Amino acid sequence: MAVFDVDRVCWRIVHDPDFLLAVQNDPVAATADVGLSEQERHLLLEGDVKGLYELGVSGFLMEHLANKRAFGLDWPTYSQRIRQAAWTPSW
Amino acid sequence: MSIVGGMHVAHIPVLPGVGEYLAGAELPPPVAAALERMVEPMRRDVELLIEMRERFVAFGADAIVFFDSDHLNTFFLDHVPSIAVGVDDTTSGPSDHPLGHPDHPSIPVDRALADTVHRGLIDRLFDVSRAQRFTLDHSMTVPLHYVTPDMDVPVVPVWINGLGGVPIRSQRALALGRAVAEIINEAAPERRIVVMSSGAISFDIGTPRVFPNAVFGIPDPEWVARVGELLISGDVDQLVEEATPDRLRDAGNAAAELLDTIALIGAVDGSGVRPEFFELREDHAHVFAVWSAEPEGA
Repeated sequence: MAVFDVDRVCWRIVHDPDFLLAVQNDPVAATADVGLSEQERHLLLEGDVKGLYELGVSGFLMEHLANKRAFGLDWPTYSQRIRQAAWTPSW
Repeated sequence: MSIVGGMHVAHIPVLPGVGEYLAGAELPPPVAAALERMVEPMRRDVELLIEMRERFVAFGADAIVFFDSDHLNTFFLDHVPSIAVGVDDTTSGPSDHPLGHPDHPSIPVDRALADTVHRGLIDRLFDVSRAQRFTLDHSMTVPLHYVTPDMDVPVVPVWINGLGGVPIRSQRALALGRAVAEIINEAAPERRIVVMSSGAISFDIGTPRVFPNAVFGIPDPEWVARVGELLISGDVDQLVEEATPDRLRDAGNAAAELLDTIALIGAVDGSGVRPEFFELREDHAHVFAVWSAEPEGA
């Protein structure tokens, strides 16, 4: 499971304005060719940060999604969903 | 002289934006509205950062050595250096563009001093990366925005990995700070260098331990209080002993930023490590502190 590629998507949300715009306009198309597994892509498109966190995606990087309101997330939504996951040490 | 003092401050990403809002800057209405909601929780932090500028000016620094934990903006998970020195003529930031944070397209870097620090650390058996053509993220630009708003004091970035996986040990961070001080004091005794760091003590970002309706949490407030006690008392050896990998890891995914503080103390402890100014901000688990490396009356 290459969650690295999901981490990279989260990074691009901050550092690649064209990608952010694409995600805001058409998230399905924007995530079609970014190296994600079907499961990762499904969870991302659903804004399922609990599921992504449980796969091993960095919470620190996923927070960018809420800051930029990507994939249907904002701070309250992100918080409500991630708080349902079990915490695991980041290293 | 050489290292004349140390300063540790907060780097909440929106603090420059809140400062701009409070100063009456013209901002796009949606940005102003968002910043207005953050004014009250952060008013004191802005006041302290403005005070830090006065203290920074009083040091008369001609360069800043900045111990910092990159927030996976300058570096990424494909290659995270445990320790890196930035060697260049200029840089820019913030690369992560926090809300309301003015851009600083040209931030001077003291290339000669950075090169000296990098070579000196290698000579002292630290396996340190050398970064060029880098940018800075908010963890460094928030403090710089306040203490040197005209960006007219060159900086030497020394990154200690804090958010990209297993960090160095606290003992190593202290040794790093002491080595940097030794290098600078030997090679540039005529200089006036201020050492800086920034960051929180217990802070979890984006994990299940965030507060309701927020994207951060403070999982270990007892550790925040304990670190505060140890910083005030100047007991750096006890701080290093208690800042174990397990403690830092469990205190949150940004809690290893404390390693920057420990390195800073290592760099200024030649003439006492008790801060001359200290304020703990419990609601964000960070401190503002100033250490002087000059004897009283000097």
